[in-house]
Amino acid sequence: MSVNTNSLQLSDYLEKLPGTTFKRLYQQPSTAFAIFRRMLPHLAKTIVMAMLYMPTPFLISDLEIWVKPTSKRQKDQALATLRSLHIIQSAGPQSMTLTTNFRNSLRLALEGGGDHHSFGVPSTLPVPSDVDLGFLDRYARKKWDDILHYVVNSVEYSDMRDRDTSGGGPKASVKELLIAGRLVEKRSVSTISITQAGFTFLLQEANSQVWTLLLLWLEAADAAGSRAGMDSVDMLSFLFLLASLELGRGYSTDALTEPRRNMLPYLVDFGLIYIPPHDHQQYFPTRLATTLTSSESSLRSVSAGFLAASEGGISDAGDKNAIILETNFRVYAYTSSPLQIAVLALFCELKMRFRELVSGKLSRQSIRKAVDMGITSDQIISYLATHAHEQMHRLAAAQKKPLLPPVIVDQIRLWQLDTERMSVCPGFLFKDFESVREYEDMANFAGEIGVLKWRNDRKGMFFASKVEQIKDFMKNRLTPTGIVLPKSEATTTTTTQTSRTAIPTLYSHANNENIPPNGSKESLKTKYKPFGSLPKSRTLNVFSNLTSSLSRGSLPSFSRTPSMSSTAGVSERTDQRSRTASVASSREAEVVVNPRQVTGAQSCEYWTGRFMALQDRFHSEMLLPENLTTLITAHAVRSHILPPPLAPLQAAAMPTSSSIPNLSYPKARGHKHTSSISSTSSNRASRELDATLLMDENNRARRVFLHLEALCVTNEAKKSLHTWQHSYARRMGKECLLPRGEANKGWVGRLLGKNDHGGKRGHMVGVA
Amino acid sequence: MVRAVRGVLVECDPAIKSIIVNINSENNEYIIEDLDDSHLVVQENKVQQLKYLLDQRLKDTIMEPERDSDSDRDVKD
Repeated sequence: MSVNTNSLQLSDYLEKLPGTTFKRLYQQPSTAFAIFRRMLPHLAKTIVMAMLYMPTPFLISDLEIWVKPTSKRQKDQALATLRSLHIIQSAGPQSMTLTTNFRNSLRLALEGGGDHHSFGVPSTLPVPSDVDLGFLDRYARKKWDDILHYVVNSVEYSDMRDRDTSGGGPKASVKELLIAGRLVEKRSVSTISITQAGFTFLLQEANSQVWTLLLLWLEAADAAGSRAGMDSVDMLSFLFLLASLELGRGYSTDALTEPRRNMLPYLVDFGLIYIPPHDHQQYFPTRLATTLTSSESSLRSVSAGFLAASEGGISDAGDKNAIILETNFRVYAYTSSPLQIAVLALFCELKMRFRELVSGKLSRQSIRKAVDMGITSDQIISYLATHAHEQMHRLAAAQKKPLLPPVIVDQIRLWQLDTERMSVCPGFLFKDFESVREYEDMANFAGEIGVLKWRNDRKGMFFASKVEQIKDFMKNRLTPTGIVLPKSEATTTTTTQTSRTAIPTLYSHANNENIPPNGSKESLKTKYKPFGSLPKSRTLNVFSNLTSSLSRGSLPSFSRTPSMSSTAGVSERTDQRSRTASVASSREAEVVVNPRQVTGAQSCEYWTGRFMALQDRFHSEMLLPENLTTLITAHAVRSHILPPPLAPLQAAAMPTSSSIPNLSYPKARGHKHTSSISSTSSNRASRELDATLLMDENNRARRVFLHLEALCVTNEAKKSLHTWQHSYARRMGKECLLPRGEANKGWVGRLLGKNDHGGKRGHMVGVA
Repeated sequence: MVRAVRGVLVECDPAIKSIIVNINSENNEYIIEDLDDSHLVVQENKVQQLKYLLDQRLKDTIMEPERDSDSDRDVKD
């Protein structure tokens, strides 16, 4: 059992809050700032600062460039924290932004300005002469001491200084809170005793203690509901406000809202603020309040935390070096502090008490009792070490031995091990995965965000301590897979074809591929030259699908040459990944085993079938919504100016050097008619180019050939394709369609250089 | 379809695990999933009870060393 640090507890509390609560919280600059300051790891702070003034969404790929691959884990954890605190949100599949409220509030907090009163309104009244820093510290210490003593006094210890728990001590409301939070338990009518949680509470640093109590208070307010007139969100945001106030300064109570004014008496009870008895116009935050969101104190060790606890939250080196521990398990403590004696009594059998001295003995039973209460052996050891008497230090230095006798330290640890036969961790077991891939993805993700506790790859199960983010991950992962892609062929074809054309790529290709030509086809008819006089129709679509399925079936013996096929597979996969990682991951397996690949020499009929199928598929691309727009836009541009003859346009795509001026011709014209079309001129120019390429029959045929060539995994296959291509080109009388090397040399290079889509074009070389 | 089962992951020695399995075999009300030699998933609300039962078993089987007497003791006893 470990002692929670306060930020941990607070983060647990915050994580439970719904997103709408965060929206409200982040309306206050002080809250946004406090959360930024207190709750975020360093890397997360850096990310937030980088994004704060970024006008556009931040690409996750950019972030990956920033972070060293070795720190991927930290990066993922930082992002997970930011997500759970609703600081960032996705702005698309691969980018993120800060949530609006958080961004605005943090900017306000950093820049100042606005009249949000989020950082308190200083009082203009004169400060009472008796209120100074020392006074406030003493006041807070007294208040907090009362609370701690109330908890400690509940430890049954006969020699405890008698203290009337009903008089003195904290207010009844605070006591109720402690009991409700199970820090102490009512054993009978009059006696109460400390619980495990209570002891953990006791050993925490003051800051965590304050938060523990405040969170109990918030929960109580939540439970009481609106009946009590308190809203936990507003309360929390008020606490963050308090944390941003300046110590020793008076703040006006008049500037506070009614519910917040009602909170003041409670805060006085906790010792977080001081209100002068004769002057209710102003309140003074104490050190307990102003350090609420500082992160310094969170670095203190447990023992230092205990020290702070024993001294009421404000550390002040007292009689801390008091304990002598001997190798025979005897403990002598030179102290008369009831709190310290009470703590010793928790893990020591105290036997004698003198003035300024108690003596006792560590035993299996006493340690076991302490462990049962939730104290760890390390806590005990570090407590003993921190409070070791200076005689112990002197002896250890003289003999060059460790401060505490190793035999005792080991024994304490062993005694604890004795009691802890099993360690437990609540969470969720994930099982019954549909595929290994799914299992691995999710288990790896759980590992990356640090919630994975156990995994067994053979059984395909893993155990995670938290489930929320895994759920989100699952959802995101499922959505793209949920899109029914026609066949693996569709994916690969789309991939390859988009890499070959200058068409603006969208993933919807895969879905829309088999949409039959519709009415809008009419408008295109003039530029639409059906290939080889075959009518383009729905029937042909069906036919081509039939062909492709047949051709797949006709490849029963399917032996891939490893080197060739893997090259093709890899380049296709990278392509996909660049577009959408999730689709790629879910489809990868199918892409690797690609039934479309050609492994041997094929007949003329076979190539005709494949050629027709692809030709047809590429043709229907023209009817995809975005491509249609391209065509229509291009058409519109042209209809405004001299109707450009189709021939030069086609020539533009033809592999002649004269094509370059021809291509720029419509571009230049387009600039003069910017008013007629809403899109930008450069966009339009590229659209025209796209349109040209889209409509060009020869270009399409070339793409088909390149595609088929890429699918040929053996030289025999390639050779038979080239033979067929040769006869096709001869028959059609198109020199440009000859296999490369046979046509005029290097047209590929010119095709590449000619238009500005180098990135996409680049793939062509890689694939072919 | 993936399933997420709420529970508590218990990590322990194989020896302790076999005791837990033995306790479980009476009513079969603790263990959700037996993962491997040293891991189990247990019903969340039964952990405390299981711990108690385990302690009872261990008390029976493990010898507690005698409290060694020492000279300090006679002052109080």
